[in-house]
Amino acid sequence: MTDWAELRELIVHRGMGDVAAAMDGLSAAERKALVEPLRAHVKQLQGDFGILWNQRTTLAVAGAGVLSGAAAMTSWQTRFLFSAWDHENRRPIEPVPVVLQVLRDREVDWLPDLAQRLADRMRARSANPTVGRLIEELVALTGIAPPTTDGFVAHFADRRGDLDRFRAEPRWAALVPRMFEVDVAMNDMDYHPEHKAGSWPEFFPRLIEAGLLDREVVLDACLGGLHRAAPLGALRGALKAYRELAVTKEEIAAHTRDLIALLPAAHSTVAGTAQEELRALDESAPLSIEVLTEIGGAVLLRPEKKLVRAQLDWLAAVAKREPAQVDEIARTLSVAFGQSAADLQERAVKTVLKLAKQLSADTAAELAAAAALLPADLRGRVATAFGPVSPAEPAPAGPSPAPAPREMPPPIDSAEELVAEIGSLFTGILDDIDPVALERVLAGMVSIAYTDRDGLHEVLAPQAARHHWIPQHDMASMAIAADRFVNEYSEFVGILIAALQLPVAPPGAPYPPADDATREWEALVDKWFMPGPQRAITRRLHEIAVGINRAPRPILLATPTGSTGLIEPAELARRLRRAADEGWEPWPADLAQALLRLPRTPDPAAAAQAAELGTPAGALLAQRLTAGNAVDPPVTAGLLGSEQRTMFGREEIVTVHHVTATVNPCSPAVAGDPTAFAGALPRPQRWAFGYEQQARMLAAWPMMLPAHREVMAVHLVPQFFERTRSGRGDGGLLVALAEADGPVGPALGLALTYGLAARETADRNAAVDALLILAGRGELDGALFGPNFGLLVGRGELPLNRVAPALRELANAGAGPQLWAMLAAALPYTLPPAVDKPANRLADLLALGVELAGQTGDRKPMPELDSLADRKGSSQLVVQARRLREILAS
Amino acid sequence: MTGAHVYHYPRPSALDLPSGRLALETSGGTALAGPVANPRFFTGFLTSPVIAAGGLQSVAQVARTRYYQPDQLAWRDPVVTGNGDRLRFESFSGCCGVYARLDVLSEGLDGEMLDRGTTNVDINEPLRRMLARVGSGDPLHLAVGADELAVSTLEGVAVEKKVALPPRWLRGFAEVQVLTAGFEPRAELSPMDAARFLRGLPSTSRASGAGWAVPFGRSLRTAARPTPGAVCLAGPQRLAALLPLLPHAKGLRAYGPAVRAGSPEVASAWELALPGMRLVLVLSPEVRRGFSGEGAVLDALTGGEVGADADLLGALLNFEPRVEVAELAERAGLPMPRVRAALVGLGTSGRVGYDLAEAACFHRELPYDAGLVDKANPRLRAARALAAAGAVRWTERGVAVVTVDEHPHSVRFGPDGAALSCTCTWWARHRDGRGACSHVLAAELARDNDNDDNSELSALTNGMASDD
Repeated sequence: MTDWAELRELIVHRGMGDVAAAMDGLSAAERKALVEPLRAHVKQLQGDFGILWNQRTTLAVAGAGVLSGAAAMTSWQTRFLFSAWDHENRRPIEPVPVVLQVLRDREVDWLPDLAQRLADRMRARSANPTVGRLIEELVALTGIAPPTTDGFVAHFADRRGDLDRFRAEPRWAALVPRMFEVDVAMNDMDYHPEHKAGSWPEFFPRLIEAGLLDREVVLDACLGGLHRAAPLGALRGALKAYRELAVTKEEIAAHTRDLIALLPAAHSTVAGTAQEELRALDESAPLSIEVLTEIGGAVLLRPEKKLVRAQLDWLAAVAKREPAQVDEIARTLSVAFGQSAADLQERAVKTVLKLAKQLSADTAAELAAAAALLPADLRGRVATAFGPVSPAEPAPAGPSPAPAPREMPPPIDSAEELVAEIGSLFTGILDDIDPVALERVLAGMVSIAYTDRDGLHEVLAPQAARHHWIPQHDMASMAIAADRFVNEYSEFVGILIAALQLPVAPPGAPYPPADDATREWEALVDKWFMPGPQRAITRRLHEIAVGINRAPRPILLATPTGSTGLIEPAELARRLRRAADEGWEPWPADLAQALLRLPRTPDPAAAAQAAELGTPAGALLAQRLTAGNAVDPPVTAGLLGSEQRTMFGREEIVTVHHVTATVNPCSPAVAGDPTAFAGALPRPQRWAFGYEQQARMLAAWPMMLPAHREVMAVHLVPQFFERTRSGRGDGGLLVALAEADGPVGPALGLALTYGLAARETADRNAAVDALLILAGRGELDGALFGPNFGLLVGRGELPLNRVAPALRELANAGAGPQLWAMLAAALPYTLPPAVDKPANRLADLLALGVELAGQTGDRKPMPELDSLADRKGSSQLVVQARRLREILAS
Repeated sequence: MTGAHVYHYPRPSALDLPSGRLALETSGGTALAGPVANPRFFTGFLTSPVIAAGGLQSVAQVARTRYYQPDQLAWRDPVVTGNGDRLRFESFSGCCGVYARLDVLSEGLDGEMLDRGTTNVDINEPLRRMLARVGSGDPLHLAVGADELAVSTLEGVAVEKKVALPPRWLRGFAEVQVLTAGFEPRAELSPMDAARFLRGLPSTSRASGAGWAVPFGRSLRTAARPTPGAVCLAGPQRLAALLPLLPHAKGLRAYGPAVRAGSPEVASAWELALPGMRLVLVLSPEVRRGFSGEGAVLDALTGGEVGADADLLGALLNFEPRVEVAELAERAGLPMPRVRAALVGLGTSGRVGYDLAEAACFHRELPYDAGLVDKANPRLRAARALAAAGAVRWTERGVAVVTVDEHPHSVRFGPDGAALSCTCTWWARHRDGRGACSHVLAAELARDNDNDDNSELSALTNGMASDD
C-alpha cells in the first residue's frame, strides 16, 4: 500500500507495529512518494502545539521506512526517536527494535554511515539514550567499529558494563579509553543509578582479567583523564577507576612523569593521590633528588594544608635518608616560607631548623634571604640558626587613604536622557538599583514633567507601551483598591503614570491635604508591614507621584549634591529661595528628606540665608543649620533578648537572645530625629522580613541618612545577618555606610561583622573594602567592634572559614593595628571560661593574632589564653594559643 | 551563520620523548612568500623544555575550554606565528571570553628561523599527554612545520579536522587585540606574591561575579569595587591555565584599562614571566561575556578612510615582532594618528596582534577565511540596514529618532557629536560599556551620509561657481 491517507491514519491513531507493517515490501519509488506528505504532516503538526510529541514513535518508524540517505535519516531520528510511555497498558514503548527492523528490511547500504552520523549528532551533555541504543544495534548489525564521538561515548558510559556483551563483541573495548576523554562519561562511569550492580571502575579489572582490555591502556587513559582540567565529579570517576586498578609499584615507576604532572595544578584530591603514590614509590625505590625537588617545588606552592604538611614530612624523611642532598632539600623546603598560613610557615621553619647543622654556608644564606617573608617570631628563629634576616619590604604602614566617593553626575536635562536612564534603572533586579541613578531620575521626572510634559510624553509613552512592568492604564484605574500591593516598585510606576497624564492642578498648587484616598493609602502601607526605611522610600515615591499630578513643582528639594546623599546647605537654601520667589510650598516628605541630608556640622552662613526667606520651610532650614543635623537617637547593639516572630499571621513575642541591634526615637522628642523619617527598630530583630515585605530598593537606604549611618546600620543588621545564610550582592551597602557620615557605633560594627561572614566572596570583599574605608578615614575603632565580634565567634555563629581569610585580607591591606585592637578586644569572649568549647577554626584567628601582635608591638598579656595554652598536645588550637601567649608576654 | 574551517596536517603533531623531538605540524596560513599549505617556521632546540611544554599545554587548555556554560566541543587548534626572533602560540577559548598567548622569545629558542608567518598548529590528545611527561633533564628539539622530505619518509597519516568557526569566535579573537592596545601595566608581583595571590583566589565556577584586584604594597588584594589603578578580575577560575607554571614563574604582571570609582567591569590581562618566554591570559569583563560583543571596534569600522589605510599598511607589514608606528608612518607616507587608526582596523580583521609586554603591535594573519573575520558586526549590519531604510529622523533639538518596527528610539548627541544615550534596551543594559547600539550607529551613519551629501553638494556648487 502506498496511500498517504492510510499511512497518516496509522501514524496518528495506531501504533508502531502497524506503521512498520505498512512499510513492508514497499518499492523505492513508493517510499520516495511518501516522503513529501510525511514532511508536510510534521510541518502542519508543528503548528498544533502539544500534538507532535505523542506521535514521535510512529513518526520515527515511518521516517525509517521512507526517508532516503543517511543524512536525512540522521536529522529525522535525532528529532523523533525517543522512548515513550504507553499509559493505557502501563508499559514503555521501545521504538528501537521496530525502527531497526524497518531499516534492515530496506536493505540499503548506508547503515554504517547512519550510525556514524547519528553518533556525530549526539551531544555528550544531553545524549539521547534511545538514539544511543539504535547506534549500538546498528554497530552490532553492520559489524563496523563503534563510533567514538563524545556523545556516543557519554551514552556508552551511561550503560551498565556487561561482561558477556564484551565477550561477544570485543570491539566495544575500544570505547573504554575514550571514556576518560569525555567529562560527562567520566562523571557518569561511577554513579549512574543503572550501575547499582557495579560501576565501570569496578568493571575494568574484570575486563582486564578476562583478557578483553589491556591494563596499560586503561591505566594510561585514566591518568590522562586525571590530568585534564575536568569538573570534580568527573575526576571522582577517574580516581575511583585508578584505585580499582590497584596500580603496582612497577606501574607507578613507569608513570612517574604522569603523576608529577598532576601535582602543580590538579584538583586537591587528585594531587593528593599522586603525592601519596609518588611517596610510596620513593620509599621503595628512591627517586632522584632532581625529581624530589621538582615535586617539592610544585606541592609546597599549593594552598592545601594537608598536601603541604605531607610534603614537608616527606622531604624531612628524605633528608634523613640522604644526608648528602640536605642542602638541595632545605632549599626546596624554604618554598613553603611563602605560604600565607602561619601554621604551615611554622612547620616549614621547624623542618628546616632540624637540618641546620648539616647545611653549607651558602644554603644558610639563601634560607636567611627566603625567610624575609616570615612573621617576626619565625624570622627570629631562622636568624638564630642562619644569621640575620632582613624583613621583606614591609607592607605600607597604614591603609591607603579612603578613595573619594564617586562624583554626583550632572542633572538630567532632557526627556530623552530621562527615559534612557529610567530604562537603565530597571534592567537588573531592583535590589541592585543604583541609588545615584534613582535620585537623578526622580529629580529629572519632577523637573521635566514640569517644563516639558509634552516632550516627555512623546518619548516616554512608546517606551512605557513596550514594558510589561508599566501597567497600561491610566491614573484613574490606579485608584486605590483594598488589596492593592504597595511597595517602592508600585509607587515608582505610579510616578511614570502620573507623568504620562496632564496635571490636574496648576503649577505650585499646594500639596493636597489628607483625604479619604490618602488615608486609605496610608492604611495599605500600614497593612504591608515594612521596615522603616522601606516605608520612608515608599512614602516619598508616592508623594512624588501625587505631586506630579496634583501639585507640580519645578524641582525636587531632596536631590543630593554628593553621591553619599549629602546636600550642601547653600544649595538647599538656594532651592528654598526659588520656592519662596515662585510662591510654592515644598512637598512635606521631600522637605523632611532634604533636611536629613544636611551635613552634621552647623552652617551659620547658610542658616542666615535661610532665615531671610521668611517661609516656614526657610525657618525650618535655618533652625537645622544652626543646630547642625546631628541628633543621634539611642542605639544599642549586642546580645539582646526578645525577638519578634510572625507566624501564620499571629505575632508573638518570644525571648530569644541574639546578637543584634535596636534604635529608639529620642526621648523627649527632638526635631531632626532621623527615626521620625526612617523609622525606629525598638525590638531586637535578627531576620529581615519575609518575601512579601522584602525591601526592593535596599541600595537606596544608606543615602536616606547620609549623616546618621549608625541608625541605618541598625536597620540593615537583619539584612546582613540573612546574607550570611543565603543571597548575594549586598556588599555595596556596607561601602555606602562606610562612606556616609555620623558616629561609628556598635551597630555598624555588627553590620560589618555579618558582612565579613557573607556567603559570597564578593560580598565579603565588599565588607573588607568598607572596613578599609573606615580605617582610611581614621574611624575604624577595633576596640568598639571587638566585643560583639568575639561574642558571635564564641557563640559559634560566625563561619570562621569565611571570616578569617577576610580579616587576613584586611590585615594585608594595611589595617593591621586596628584589626589587632579588634582581635584583642574580641578574643577573651572566644576563649574559656567565656565559652565551654572554642569555635571551629579558632586557631586561624589566633594565628592571625600572632602575626598582627608581632607587627604592631601593641601587646599586653591575655590571661584567658592560659587555659588553652596550658593544655597538653599539639593541636593547632593549643599551638597557636601558646604562640600568642608567648608573643604577648614578650 | 556558522563558518567552518578544515585543518589539513600532513601528519599529527607528536613528541617522541626518547629522541627528544617535538614536531608541531602546521596547516594553512601565510608565510613571507604568501599563502602556504604547511609552512615551516622553526627548527632547533628549546632552552627550557619543561616550561615550554607547560606553556603549550596551557595554550591548548584554553583552546579546549568553555569557561561559561562548560561543555566540551571540538576545539580549534592554536595559531602559531613565526615573528622572526620569536614564536607566538595563540588560542581563544570556546566561550570567547579568554585569550591565551605563549611567546617563546629568542632566549627560549636555540635554532633556525626558517620563515615568518602565521599558521595553525595541531595539538592532539596524545601530544598533550606527552608534553606533560617532559622532565627537567630532557633536551627538546622543536620543529614547527615539517620538512617536506621528512614528511614523505616518516610514518603517520595525514590529518584532516573540520571545526565550526562561528563569526562571533573570530570577531572576539580579533577584538582582543583592539581592547588590549588600550591597557597599561597596573601591578607587578614577585614569584612568591604571585603564587600567594593566584592560589588564594576562589577556584569554583560559582565565583562568577566580577571582582577587582587592587595594587597594595608588594602585591594585589581583591576588592569588591574599582578604585583608580585596579584591575578587573572577573571569574578568577579562568586564570587556572597559569597555575601549572607557577613553580617556574619569574613574576606576574597585571594589565588593564584606566578605571575609577563606579566603573563598570572591564577586560584584564595577566602575564606570567617565565625563563625565555611569557604566557599571557586576557579575560573578558564577565564570565558570561565573550569578547565579540565588546564593540570596541565599532567606531573604527564606521570610519571611512580606515579601510584604505589598512590595506596600504597591510601590504607593508612583514610579520614584524614589533610594529614601530613611526617607522611605518614614514614608509606609508601617512600621519601617525592615521597609522594608529589603521592598525586598529587591521586588528579587527585579525591581521595584527598586540603584545602588552612590548606595548606594540605585532604582525600576524589569522589563518582563517578573511571574509569570515571581516563579516559585518551584527550591530553594524543592523545599523546599515536602518540607515539605508531611512529609519532615522532628526528632531529640531538634534535628537535622532530611529524607528525600528514602528517603535521609536531616541538617540541623544553631545555638543561634540558623540552619542550620549539611547532609549533602547541595549543602552539600558550596557550603557556605553560595550560599544554603541545599532540605533546610535544608524544615526551616526545617517549623519555622515548627510554630511557627505552636503559636502558633495557644496563641492558641486563651488565647482559651478568657479566655472563661472
